[in-house]
Amino acid sequence: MDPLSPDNIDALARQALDDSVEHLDGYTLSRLNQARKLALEHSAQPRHWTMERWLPAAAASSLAAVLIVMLLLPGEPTTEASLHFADIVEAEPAFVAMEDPELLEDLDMMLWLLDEESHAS
Amino acid sequence: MDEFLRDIERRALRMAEFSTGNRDDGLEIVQEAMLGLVKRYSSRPANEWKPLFYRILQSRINDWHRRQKVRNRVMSVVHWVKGDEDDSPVDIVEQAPASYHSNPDDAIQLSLKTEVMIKAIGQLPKRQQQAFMLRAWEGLSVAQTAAAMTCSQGSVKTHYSRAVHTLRDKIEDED
Repeated sequence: MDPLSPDNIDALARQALDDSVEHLDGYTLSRLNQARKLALEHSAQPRHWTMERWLPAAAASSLAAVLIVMLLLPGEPTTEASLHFADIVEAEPAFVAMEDPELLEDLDMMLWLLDEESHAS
Repeated sequence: MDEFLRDIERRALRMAEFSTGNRDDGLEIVQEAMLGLVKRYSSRPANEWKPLFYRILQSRINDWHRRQKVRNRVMSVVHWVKGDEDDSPVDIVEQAPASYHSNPDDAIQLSLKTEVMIKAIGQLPKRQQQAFMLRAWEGLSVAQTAAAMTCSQGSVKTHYSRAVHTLRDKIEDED
């Protein structure tokens, strides 16, 4: 077997990366521990994907139309849909006016998850 | 969720640290990603957490690079106003990340081969590095990696392939 074949490069890289994180210093481990505990304290309430909760009516109906179109796109629906979604969101005044990057990230993620579910079924 | 975060935290830190060249910034990014995942997606099925987490992590890393770019531009203007000789703006977003050096506080001296590989990965262009680490180390599928990196699956394959070739060349040079 070629020692520098892609599979071997992968294996060498994985081993090297695993070794590099095996013995992190105490300060770093403590920071990671704190980060994890802080995150878990904010364990979410189940999210309700109701558009009315966030969106004005105009943006909600625009979003519904966007999602339907995105899921019908041919080709590579998952990432292509997300990329098209980003373009459409930027052009839609109702979305631009919201200026909430977390919300836009949520919407983009929701689209991807819906697409994953439709592929799985 | 606790078990998931425990399993993923070290790899996530390494990825963030490679990208920023700085452990403290890497730690902050990992903290933000953990918080983002738990606050917004803990109700999702557990098999979705990994790609979701890395999507958030990459987003935070990109935010960091954007802030650095703005900061560098501001500093360039400051230098220009002050009449400093070197006033060329530094665009760090697309540059290869700074050479990665193992943290001197870490408890073990890595073997030479490991150091060579780690250094080589650290020197990969950002997108190649992301694709390679998500695919080869974290084991994400091409589709999941594309979602995490917000690019096409074709781009993932290209970045990954180039990363492998670059790493092979560097390893060969060291032998």
